[in-house]
Amino acid sequence: MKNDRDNSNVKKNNVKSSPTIKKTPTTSNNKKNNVGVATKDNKRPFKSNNNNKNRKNYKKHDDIDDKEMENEKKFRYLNQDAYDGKISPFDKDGYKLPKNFEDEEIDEDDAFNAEDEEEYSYYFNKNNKNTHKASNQKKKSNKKDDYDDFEGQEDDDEYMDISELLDDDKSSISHSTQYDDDEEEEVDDIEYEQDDEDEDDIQMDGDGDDDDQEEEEKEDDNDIFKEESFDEDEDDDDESESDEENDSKARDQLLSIIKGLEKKPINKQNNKKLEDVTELFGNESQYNIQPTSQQDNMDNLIDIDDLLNIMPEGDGFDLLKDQLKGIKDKPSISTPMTKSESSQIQRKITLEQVNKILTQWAPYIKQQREQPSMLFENRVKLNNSTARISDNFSGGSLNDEIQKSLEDSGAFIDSQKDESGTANNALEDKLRLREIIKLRNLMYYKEQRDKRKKKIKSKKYHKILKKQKEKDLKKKEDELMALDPEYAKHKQAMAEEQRIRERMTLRHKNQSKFMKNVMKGSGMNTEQRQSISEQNVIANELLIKRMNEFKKQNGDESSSDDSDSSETESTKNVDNRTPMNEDLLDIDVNDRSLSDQDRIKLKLSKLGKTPNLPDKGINAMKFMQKSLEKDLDRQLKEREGQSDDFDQLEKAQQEKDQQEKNKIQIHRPIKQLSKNQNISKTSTPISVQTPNDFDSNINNISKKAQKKQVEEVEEDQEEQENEDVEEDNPWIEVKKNKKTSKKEKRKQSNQFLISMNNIDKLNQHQKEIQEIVNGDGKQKQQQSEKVKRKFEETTTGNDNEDDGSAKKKNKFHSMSLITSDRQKQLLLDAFAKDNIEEEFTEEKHHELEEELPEEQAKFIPGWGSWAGEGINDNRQQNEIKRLNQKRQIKLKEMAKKRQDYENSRVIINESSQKEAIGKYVLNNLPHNFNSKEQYESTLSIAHGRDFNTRMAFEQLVQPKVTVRTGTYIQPLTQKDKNQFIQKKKDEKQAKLKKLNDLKNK
Amino acid sequence: MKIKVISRSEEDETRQSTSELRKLHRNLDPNLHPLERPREYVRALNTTKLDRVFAKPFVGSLSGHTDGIFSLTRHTSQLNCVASGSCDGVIKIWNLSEMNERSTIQAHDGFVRGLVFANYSSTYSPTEDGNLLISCGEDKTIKFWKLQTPEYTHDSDALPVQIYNGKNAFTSIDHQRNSGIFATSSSQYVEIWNQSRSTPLQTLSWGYGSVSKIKFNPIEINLLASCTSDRAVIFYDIRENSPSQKLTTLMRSNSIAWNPMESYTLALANEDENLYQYDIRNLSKAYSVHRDHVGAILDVDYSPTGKDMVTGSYDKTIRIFPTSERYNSREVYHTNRMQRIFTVMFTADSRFILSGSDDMNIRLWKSNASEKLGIQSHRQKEKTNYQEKLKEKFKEIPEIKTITNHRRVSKDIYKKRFIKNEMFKAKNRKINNVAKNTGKVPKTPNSLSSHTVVVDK
Repeated sequence: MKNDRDNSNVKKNNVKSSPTIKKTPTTSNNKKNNVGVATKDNKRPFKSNNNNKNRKNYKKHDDIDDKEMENEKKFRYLNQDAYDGKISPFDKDGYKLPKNFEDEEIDEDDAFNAEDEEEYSYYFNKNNKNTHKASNQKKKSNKKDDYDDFEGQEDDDEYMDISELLDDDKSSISHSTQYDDDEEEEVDDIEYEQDDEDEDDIQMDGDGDDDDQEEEEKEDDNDIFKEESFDEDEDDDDESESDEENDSKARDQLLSIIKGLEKKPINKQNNKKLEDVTELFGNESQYNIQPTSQQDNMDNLIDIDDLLNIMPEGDGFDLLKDQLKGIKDKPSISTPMTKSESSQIQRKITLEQVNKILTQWAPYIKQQREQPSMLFENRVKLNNSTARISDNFSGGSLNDEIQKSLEDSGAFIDSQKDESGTANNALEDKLRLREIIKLRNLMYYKEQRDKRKKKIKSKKYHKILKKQKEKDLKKKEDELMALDPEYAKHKQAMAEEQRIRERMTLRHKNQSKFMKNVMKGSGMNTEQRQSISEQNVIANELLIKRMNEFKKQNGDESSSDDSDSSETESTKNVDNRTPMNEDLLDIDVNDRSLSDQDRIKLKLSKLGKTPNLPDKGINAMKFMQKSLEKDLDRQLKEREGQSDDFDQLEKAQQEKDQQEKNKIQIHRPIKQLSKNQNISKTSTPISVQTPNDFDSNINNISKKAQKKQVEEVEEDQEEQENEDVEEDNPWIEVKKNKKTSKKEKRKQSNQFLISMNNIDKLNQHQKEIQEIVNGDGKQKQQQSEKVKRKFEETTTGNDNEDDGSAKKKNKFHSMSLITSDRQKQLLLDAFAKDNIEEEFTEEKHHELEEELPEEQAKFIPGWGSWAGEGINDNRQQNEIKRLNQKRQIKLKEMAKKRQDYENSRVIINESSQKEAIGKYVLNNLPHNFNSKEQYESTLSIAHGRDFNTRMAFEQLVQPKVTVRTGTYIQPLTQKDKNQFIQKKKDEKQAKLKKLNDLKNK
Repeated sequence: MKIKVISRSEEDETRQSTSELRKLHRNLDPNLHPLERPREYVRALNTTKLDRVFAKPFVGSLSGHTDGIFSLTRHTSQLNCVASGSCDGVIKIWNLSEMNERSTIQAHDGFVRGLVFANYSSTYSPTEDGNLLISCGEDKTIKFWKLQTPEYTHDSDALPVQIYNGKNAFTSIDHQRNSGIFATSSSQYVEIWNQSRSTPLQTLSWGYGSVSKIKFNPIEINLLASCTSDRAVIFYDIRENSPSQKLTTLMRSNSIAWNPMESYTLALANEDENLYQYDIRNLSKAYSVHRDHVGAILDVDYSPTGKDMVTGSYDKTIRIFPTSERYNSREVYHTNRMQRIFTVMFTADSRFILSGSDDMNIRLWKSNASEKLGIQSHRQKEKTNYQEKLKEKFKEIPEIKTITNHRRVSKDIYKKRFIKNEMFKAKNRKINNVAKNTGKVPKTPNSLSSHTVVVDK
């Protein structure tokens, strides 16, 4: 039936291509449902007209047999095309088998399985079954009808139809998509629809053909196929519902189909089919010209031969034919491009060229951008400048005249003449040259000799030089001390330290208070005995040392007759040592200013002999007198040696010590001036730090310092443990009393623990000790300030420098006050009951807690719970507990972030630092900089006149752009670029040349 | 014994005249000059403060026009010569060194849309440079005005040497450097003319947006850029007689300028209140965005050194942006009576800025607000150089940065800026909130690439 219809349509519109394609939505999304619905919708109006017919036909469909399925398969392809409205070669077949089609088309439940198979074959072989689709579509259209009746959506549908009629592909697509939702409902309505199968779709197709659509596009065809296949699927669904047996199977198939659809786009085979369709009508043409040579013309194009064939044979045409034959072999001219296309190509070419030109500029412009400074000035050639005037004169006759007159008068010596004269006499020239060389050599040798001679110096000379240097140094120091009080202080401290050292090593004498105490004490333990023996050893060493020194000094005295400085020094020494001989030494025995005789007399008198010298005879001769003098000298020395009483000396010193004993002298470590300067120089008030950086930086600094301390402390501890294992607690931590006010406390918090045993290594600890021992409040404060200052320095200084300075500081030798275990014990006892450590940690914790305000539990009894008597609500407590825990965790985290986290004995006030430096600290790394160091480096150079030489200053302050007054700045020109490129080329060539030269060598 | 004495030769120390400065002997020992950085910082701070104190950018105004000034152009070789065209068709030629007008020409009926100096001959000759003024107006004419050297004046009653008629009202004109070719724009067409021909040599177009401004590339003189009302910027190569590419932006560009020191850099004065710099070799994203204005930018000009850009805006302010290093404006100039600024221009020595506004005045500004005018001694120059260097060195330090960046603006602008800022923040906030609630990474739009809508080739 369907086929009948189809065929009839075909007959009617032989040449017309099917319009349905355009009607059917060209959805590219492979959702079968959508498409199915869409097609159905599209066709609805027609269907509704033919509803009755459909019903009639339905019965016929019922009659179908299984056998007929094969027929169906056969014609599936043809039907499809027919359905599409294409007029294709199958027409002939269609004529043969009209009846089959009717039956086949109408097959029902029985045919279902077969249909399924076919469907699959369609999907995988790309053979579509037309009949089914048609029927499906009918069904759906019916469904749709019903649905529409229900829903009253007819308006939409009608609108769609119009669009279809108007051949509006896109609109139909949109419609198809619109009806996505509707479709599901339709599926529910399947049962209504089953009776409504008919062939009206085909009819509709025919109608479509009748409508304005004359052409079809392949794409559309594809879409149709798709849709049709979807329709089929839908149909299957419907059928599956009616046929329970095949339900699951069908569903599986459906799924697989969907999958297949998703994977595979519409195949090209479909296109081929279409080609077949159009083939039949290919050779029609307006003038009834058919391509003759079929073999050559695969495309069935009409060529010149075909045209020539039409021409009647005749006189006039022969000539024309001959002419045209020449053209025959030439290829045909392609169609001219559209304007938009050609202009696009033109633009492309233009752009390429422009870019090519512009990229040539890139290196030059890059170089210009990177130039540190640019100068714009007018390079104007003035026409009437003085240079021009002088040019004019130089060629004038006046010059020549003057020169001539000079030459004539003989005042002008012609240099050329001279040259020629010498050039003639080559031999002479050679000789002269030789002479010159000889002289030069001689001069050189002499120079060398002189140099060598100059280098050789006597011992004496060196000694004098050394003394001189020492003297100078001392002088300078004195001056400096006068100028710089801090330096003086430092020097004084050094001297003091030396003295203390001396004193400390004087433990060999048992007269010291300490020793006396020890002696008095009932019996000595092993420790004390050991320490005493140690002292004895030291004493011996010292004694030997002193002896040696003394001897040396005397020796110096005797030998250094001619050096004033050494003399005075030695005499001074003698002064100190032997006050008894003062009167004798009032007059210098070795005074050179005195005559030899006088000197001898003096010496004799010193030795207690009569200063009578023989005036005559051999003894009066000079050499005899000299020997005598020598003899006397020796005797004098001996005498002096006797008078050097070590015991006496030591006694004197001990007396001195005794005087000082009651005072506790403490060495004060003061930074060296130079170091101080270094720090101040390198200390940078401005530094870039990201907020984290800032903290970390400070952390680093302080941590480093702390670590060092800690390390040292640990080392010492180890040593200590090795030394005296029996001691339980070698550590004593000292903290100040808590009497001081809070503010002060904070200040003092910068001062820390002191480990008694490590004082000599840790300056700061020493200070602390000092405080403790002195117990002087004022001093305390001063020192705390000092510590603070020092701390600031370390924080502001750079890391590296900090390291250096810290090391230096640590190297700085200081001394332990607490020498004996007894003293330690004493101190331990003294501070035994002070729980300073605990107080300190408490304070530290308090500090931390202050930073984090306590969170109040948001709990109001009765809100969100029952309140009142008898109700035990411990939620509040829980809440508080929870908050507390949270807070503790937070506090811990905060503590970790603090700089003083590592060191339990320090409290570092971070806020003050931030306040102080914050003004100069950058929160972010500035634009255009990659790292902190990079930015810092830009700040490191001082630009000022005070810090640079004149030239450097001028270079440093050169502005980026200088425009001379009155300069008209012209834009760049090609010339600039070309020059630059040429320059680069030359450089490259020169480089290559150099390389080549090197290779050749 | 060696005695060290300060020894100075008479010859070196004697001054030739009393005005000569004495030689200064300095000891550069770093120990004698401690704390260099703190000292320099203080100097820099003082300088920045003083800079603000002495920032007096307004030099004077050139009054005489009786309508808003719509076009300004500088002479091709004379520093002190500029011409201006107003909306009533009057052209005035000014002498900047004396701050007075050289001559007045009633040139067009209606707007003078474009003005340009050239030399009167089709082939370029330096001696005749700048003795021709070409103007185009809304009366569909291009007029040639011959100027009398050496003063570059024009008799008020003299007629134009030549008048070329166009089909549409002209919107803009630009002259190729050192040649006899110029270009005009009218409706959707860009026409290339030769001075000696009354009909255009080429007519170029792409699309249908009317062209509002054209500019020849000053370096690659055959390249031409135009901006159209349909948000496009079209680039042409007149040798190829074809456009090369088209950039379409979010909003239309009101004006364009080529960097005279970089052949491929271009600035767009955009309607969206921002100034964009593009590298025309890669138009897919802007090279830099400069946002500070609170009104549409109407005109832009590069300084001849290529280091600065000046913009005139509908918000009645002039701003100076550095071309590189920073995106914010370096200066903002405004006065109480200055109205919408239609045109801005650097003088050829890059030291001054001219602005033509709706209030019939041309104003002359210093491009460096605190610069000292007049002759400076060598030492003064050195000092200013040093101070500049110090400012540059410490410019990132917060204290100095705030002082240098702080400008007083009118309440109106301040409010608008505030609102703009709030809007910007809100947008960002929204993006972040959306990201937070969808669990995605916040994706803030790239201001550089988001401005480009499409690049046609």
